[in-house]
Order: sequence, then structure tokens, then C-alpha cells
Amino acid sequence: MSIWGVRCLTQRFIRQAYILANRRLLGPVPQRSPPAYAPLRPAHSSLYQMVKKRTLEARTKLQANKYPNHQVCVTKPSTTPPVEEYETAVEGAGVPAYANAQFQAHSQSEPLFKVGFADVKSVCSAKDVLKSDSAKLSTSQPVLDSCKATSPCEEFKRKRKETTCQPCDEDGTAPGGGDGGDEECECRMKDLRLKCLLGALAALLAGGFLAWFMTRDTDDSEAKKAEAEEEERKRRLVAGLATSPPSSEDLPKHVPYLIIGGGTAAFSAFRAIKSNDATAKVLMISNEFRKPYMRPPLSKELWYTPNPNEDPIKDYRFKQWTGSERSLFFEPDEFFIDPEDLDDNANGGIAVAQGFSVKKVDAQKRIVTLNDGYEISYDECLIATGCAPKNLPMLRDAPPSVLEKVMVYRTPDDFDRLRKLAAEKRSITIVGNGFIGSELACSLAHYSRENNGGKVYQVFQENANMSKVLPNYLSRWTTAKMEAQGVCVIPNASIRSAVRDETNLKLELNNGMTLMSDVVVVCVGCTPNTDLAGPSRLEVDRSLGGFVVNAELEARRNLYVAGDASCFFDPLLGRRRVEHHDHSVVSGRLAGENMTGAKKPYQHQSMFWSDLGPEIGYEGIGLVDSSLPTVGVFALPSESATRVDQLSESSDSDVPETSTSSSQSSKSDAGASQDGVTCDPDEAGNYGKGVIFYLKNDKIVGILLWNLFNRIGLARTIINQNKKYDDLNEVAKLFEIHA
Amino acid sequence: MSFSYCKEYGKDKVIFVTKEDHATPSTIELPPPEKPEGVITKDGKINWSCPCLGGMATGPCGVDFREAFSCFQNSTADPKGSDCYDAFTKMRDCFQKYPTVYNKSGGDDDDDDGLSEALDTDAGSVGGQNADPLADVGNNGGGDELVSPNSSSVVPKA
Repeated sequence: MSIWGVRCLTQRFIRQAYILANRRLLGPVPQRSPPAYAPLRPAHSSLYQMVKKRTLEARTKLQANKYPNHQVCVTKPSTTPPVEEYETAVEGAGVPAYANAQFQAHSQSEPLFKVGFADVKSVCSAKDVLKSDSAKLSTSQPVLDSCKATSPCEEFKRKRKETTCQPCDEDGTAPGGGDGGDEECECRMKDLRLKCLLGALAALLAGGFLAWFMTRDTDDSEAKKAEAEEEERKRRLVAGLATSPPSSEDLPKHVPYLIIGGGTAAFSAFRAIKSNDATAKVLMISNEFRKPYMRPPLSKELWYTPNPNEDPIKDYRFKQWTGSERSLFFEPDEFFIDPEDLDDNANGGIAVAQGFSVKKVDAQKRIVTLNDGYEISYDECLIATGCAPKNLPMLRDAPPSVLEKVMVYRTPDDFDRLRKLAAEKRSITIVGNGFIGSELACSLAHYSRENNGGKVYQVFQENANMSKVLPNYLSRWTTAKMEAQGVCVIPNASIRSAVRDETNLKLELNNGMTLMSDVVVVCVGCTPNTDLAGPSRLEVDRSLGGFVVNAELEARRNLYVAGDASCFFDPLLGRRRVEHHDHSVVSGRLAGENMTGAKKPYQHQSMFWSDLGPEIGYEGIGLVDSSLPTVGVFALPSESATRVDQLSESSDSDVPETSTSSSQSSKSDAGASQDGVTCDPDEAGNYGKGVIFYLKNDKIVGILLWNLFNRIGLARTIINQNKKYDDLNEVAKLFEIHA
Repeated sequence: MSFSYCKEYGKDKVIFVTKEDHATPSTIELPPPEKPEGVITKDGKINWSCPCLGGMATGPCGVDFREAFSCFQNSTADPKGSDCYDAFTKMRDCFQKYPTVYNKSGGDDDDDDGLSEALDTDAGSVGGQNADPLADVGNNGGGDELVSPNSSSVVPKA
């Protein structure tokens, strides 16, 4: 099957899978309700009940006001009115008390109906009384008419009679009793209206007060609880006591694959294990309270992310050089299983125990012991504990007032802290000329320039940046470039003392300079985490550090080491320890494959890369050590560029005109032998693109690609040849440095 | 006119060459670059570590994905894969349980990168065409899915 055919098949499959996956997605998807919303439901429900109650109450009041004469008839008997009014007032006052209870609210509606029913009964009894009275009092006809008026027509007629009576009164024939009765009725009506209004207002006020009280109480308790939890969590995080799951008892007793460490090598190993064992159950024990993430963007891409208002940056998203955006974390949270569920998951997966430390690995019994004594047995185990950043002894032992101004740089928390300081226009001093120190200096200088920030200093005791990696001439050229980017580079200097001076730190350097800085970031390398070695009886390399493993990354049977903490045997280049991201990926993958039974030796050379601002980017592979002899081949600018540059021509004129080939030129200059010649300013632009070969016994053991990309595969092939080459310029042709 | 020249700084030697001097082919003979393995290995098995799968084989739905993919690959029905409806349905149901993993927001960019990477990997070019400094360029070990920008999805938009 041809490659093209395979690709078509793959794409067709993927497209089909996508179509099938999206068919259901377009339909309604049941969403899980976020648990954070649950606590808010009672308050919401309570408010709803309150509104409902108030509406019903208002409706009752309106009903009463609509038929005032109805009330008038009821109050006619002298003994009945006080009792009725009192009962109504009691009901009104009692209503808010039951506002929050669903069942009580339901029962509350019944009394209202009872009240109405009672009114009807009162009317009947009144009629009965009046009927009996009418037999006795035949002379009181006007009173009878007034009581009988229960329908609108009757009421209308009654009012007409009253109007007619007025002229009669003027004539002097009006009855005194009838007139008094009317006035009394009016007075009672007004009084009743006033009472209704007051009752309504009281009810509204009571309801409002109760609602406010309930809401305040709920919010207050909720806020207090959340605040307490957050405070507790922060305290435990600071003390390093926070763990997830909360207790080691929740961890499984046995796992097929156990990984100690939560970094890149650990996650790469998981990928390899799961690729070769489809239902693998992997437990990762990490002493950091984060899911696995990659480190390189912390000193590069994250500082160029154009959303400075977010604090912190959500999920630490950054824009890659390819233009796409992604998170610092390898996978989202739902990718991972809870450790409690790892045993029951038929399809396997990866669970991360966060905040736990391992004290000992018993390779013979295959048991890992946590710091709290909990034991986990395993079939295959990987140690990927990485390394911890070093600090200067003088700064490490400084008083607390100085210590709070000193930090190392390795984690997202360090990034957050430094970013806040940079945003506050603080001056920052970086100690160290290595990868992290130099990259961070360039990134901070860029960030300061973009945000009108503070000064960036870089202090190191070597004489130029990256001096352990780059040959001297290139190292010095790089330092000049970094200064052009805005970094104040102070080479050949070390910090003699550091004292606190109000908000600043006063640094006395050994060259006599004094530096005032708000914060000091120490980037002087890191130490492999090998605390496990003693209790576990594992070997640590004396010179390189790290656990000693063979070419298959095996420390003991069924026990492997990968990443920064691994001092491995490279069949091609000897015993090595590498602290680079790609090495973590490559060694993690190899260890993972071997944990599933592959038994592969280390063959695939890992690479590294670095970016120093927008102009310098380089990739390396193999042994890239500046103490080795090097041969660099760099591209000269094209003819037109040279013709324009007079200085460059002037410099070139020094070369004998008769030399037309590089080999002749090489021999001629070799005869001249200009040792220790420093780069002329004219040549500053000549290190634009090139390839540097690192030699050992005249063989190429390392290759550095300077502003050349997508050629690491070729470099890897050349190193694997393990050959001598008489003319390295011919080898350099393969890299097409002029492309 | 400029000419190539050489300088020495102690143990370090620097050669500056013009484009013309590098125009002639190199005399160095190297073995042909080993082509990165695609999704199907030489012995006909499925390479679940291939970066072109974008980590699908190792995610929470990895087992279901493998079953569906294997069924599709081994299918002899016409059209190919029409007998794998059950496997696809099972995989789809699993995808819906993990929306963040399998349907990333901003998936357009990730998907494009994924396809581009798969194309480059299949093309077998020297060192690959991946310009992403976070990726392991020219990886012969079957690819590096960890730092792939689309570590969760290579599904193209319909």
C-alpha cells in the first residue's frame, strides 16, 4: 500500500469519524449542571416563593376593595365587626411567616378561602336576623331597604333615594334616623379603606424585610464558607500539604504502571505505555499540585502573548510560532481519571496523585513507599523526578528580608509572580548566562519595552552568554545582540553581597559595581532530584548526577529512569545526562516503550532549541559543548548586499585576491594563524545563518544549527554516521545554509 | 566582489562561504533518510504512536478509537467501513462524554496543523516541514504527539 493511499485512507476515516461524531452533537446534548450553581438554588427558590405569596395577597386585597358595600352589610350588626377585623389583621401578619415553606404556603391558601366562606355565612345570618326583626319593627321601613340592597341595581336605586331625600330634608320632612345611618356608613367605609391600605403596606414591608434577611443570611454564610475553604486551600498549598486526593488511602494499592514525577518525561512515558498497551492503567505521583505541563514557553512564548490584562493568563495559553494557540498543559483536566476510579476503569487511563512525595522504591519487592508510609505495589515503575533549580549559596542563606526579593524560575507560579513584577515596572536582575537566564532576559526586555517597564539586568561570571554551549566568538556576538535588545548585560561579575535597602535590594558585585534591583531571579542551572537514591539503594553518578541507568534506561529490573534525573548510557556518545525538553520527551517515550516490554536501547538523539528574541534562534543535537573544538560554516550575504556595504568590502579586501576557493582560502589563512582575533564590528552581520560542527577525535559528535530550521533530521543522520570528514565545508553544503 | 574566507579563534574555526561556493553538490554521501513511519507499519500493523493520529489512541476514548479504526482498516465491505457502524457509534458516544478533550475550541487552527503535520510526516521529507519549535523535528521514532499543537484532535472540519 502506497504512502499516498495510506494517507487517503486515514483522512477518509477521520472525516467519516468526524461526520459521525458531529451528527449527534448537533442534537440536544444534556449538560451536566455545574455543582457551583447548586448552593444558589435555595435562595432563588425562596425568592420565587416570596413573589408568588405577595401576588396572591395583593389579589385578595383588590377583591376586598372591589365590593366595599359587601363589607358595609357585614359590619351592620354591632357585635360582629370587631371580631372580623381582628381576624383579618392576624391573617395578614401571619402570611410572611410561612413565605419560605412550600407545603406551608400551600396550606396558607386554604385559610384565605375559609375567610371568604365565613363572610358568606355572616351575610346569611344577618339576613335571618333582619327578617325576624322586620316582623317586630314594621315602622322601620328605610332600614329594611338599606339592608336588602345587595345587588348593583338595588344599590343604584338606594343611591337615587338618597338623592331624592335631600330635597325632602330641605323641606323639613327628612327622618333624622335615616340621615344618621348614612353618615355612619360613609365613616365606616373610609376607615376600612385606610385599614386595608395600611395592611397592604405592612405586608409588603414585612415581606421585603424577610426577603432581605433571608438573602443576606444565605449570601453571608455562603461567602464565609467559600472564603474559609479558599483560605484553607491556600494555606495548605503554601505549606505543601495540599493533596489530591485528600488522603493517600484513596490511592490504589496496586497499579500495573507507576510513574514517579509529573513532568514532561512522565507524560511522554504515559503516551508510549498507552500506545503499546491499549488498556494500561497508569498512576502518576506528582509532588506538584498541577496536571502535567510543558516548560519551554515559560521563558519564551508566554511573554509574547498579547493579552496582558489577564492575570493570570487563563490556562496559560500562548501563541505558538506556527500561529496557532494552545495551552501550557498537555491535556485538559477531563483527560485524566480520578485515582479512586483507576481500578474500576476497564479502558485504563492515567490518574494523577497531586501533592504526594515518594520516599523509597523497593525494586526487589516492587513496592513504592510514600512519605506518609503508604505503600503501592507496581508491575513496572518509572522515576521521572526531574531536577530542582539551584540557588546561589550566598543568597540561599540570606536573611528573610533579602530572601523575599530573590526567586528561582521554573514553574507557572514563578511566571505569574515575575509577570506581576514586570507589569509593576520593577527592575529585575537575572543571575546566570544559561538557556533559562538568557531566554528570560530577552523575553523580559521585550516585555518591558512593550509595557514601558523597568530595567532588565543580567549578571554572570562568565564572559558572554551561553558560554558553555556556544564557541567563544559566537557567545560574545550573542551578548552584543542581547544588549541591542535592551538587556543590560554585566559579564565577568558575581554577587558578593546583597542587602535590603527599603523596597530595593542592593547588590554589590565583585567588580566594584553596585546594582539596585527590585527582584533577583537566579537561573544558575538545576540539580537532579535523586533523594530517592539512598533509601532505594540506587546508584547516582558522581560527576554528572542523576540515577545511573543503562542504554535501555533501566536502573533495576522493572525500574526505569527518564528525563533530567536520568544519567544514561548512549552507545554512540558515552554516558550522558541531558536537561532539555525534547530529551524528556524522547527518553520518556523510550522508557515507556521498554516498560511494555520493548527492550530498545537509546539510539534516537534528542535535540534542543532556544530563542533569544526575534533575531536569534538555534537548534542543537548531540554533544554541543563549547569545550570541544568547533568548525563553523556561515553564509555570506549575497553579492548585491555586499556591494552596498562598503565596510564589508573593505574588510573583504584583506583577503588575497587570488584566492577563489574556500579550501585555498582556508589554507592561506591557516598559515596566517590569527589567534585570539576578536570579531570586527563589520562582521557583526555575518553570523546570520550557519552550521557549527562540534568535534571529538575529529569526528562530528554535535551539530548546532544557527538560524536554520527543519534540518535536525539531517544533523541526526550525520552524527549517527560516526565518521571523520576531511572537508567539513562539503558537509555544510548538505544543510543549504544559503536557502 | 566577495570571496569565501576562513578565520581561526584558537580551537574554533569559522568559514564564511558565498552562495556560489555552495552551489556545487556536496561530495559527502549519506544513507537516505529513514522515512518516519506512517499509521501503517512495514509489517502491516497499525502504529498507534503515529503523530498523525493526534493522540487519539491514548486519550480517554483510545480503546474505542482503536476498535473503530481497526475495523475500518480491516474492512472488506463496499464501501469500506460500512460494516463498522457499531464501532463508530460507540466511539462517537465516548467522544461526547469528553467534550473538552475531543472538540477543542479554536479547533480550526489545531485541525489544520494536524493535517499539515500528517501530510509532512507522510511525505517523508528530510527533517519534516514542521516549523513548530516545540515539536520534535525529524523524529524517526514514530513522531512526538506530546508537544503536537493538536494533541487531541485531527478531525478536519466538514
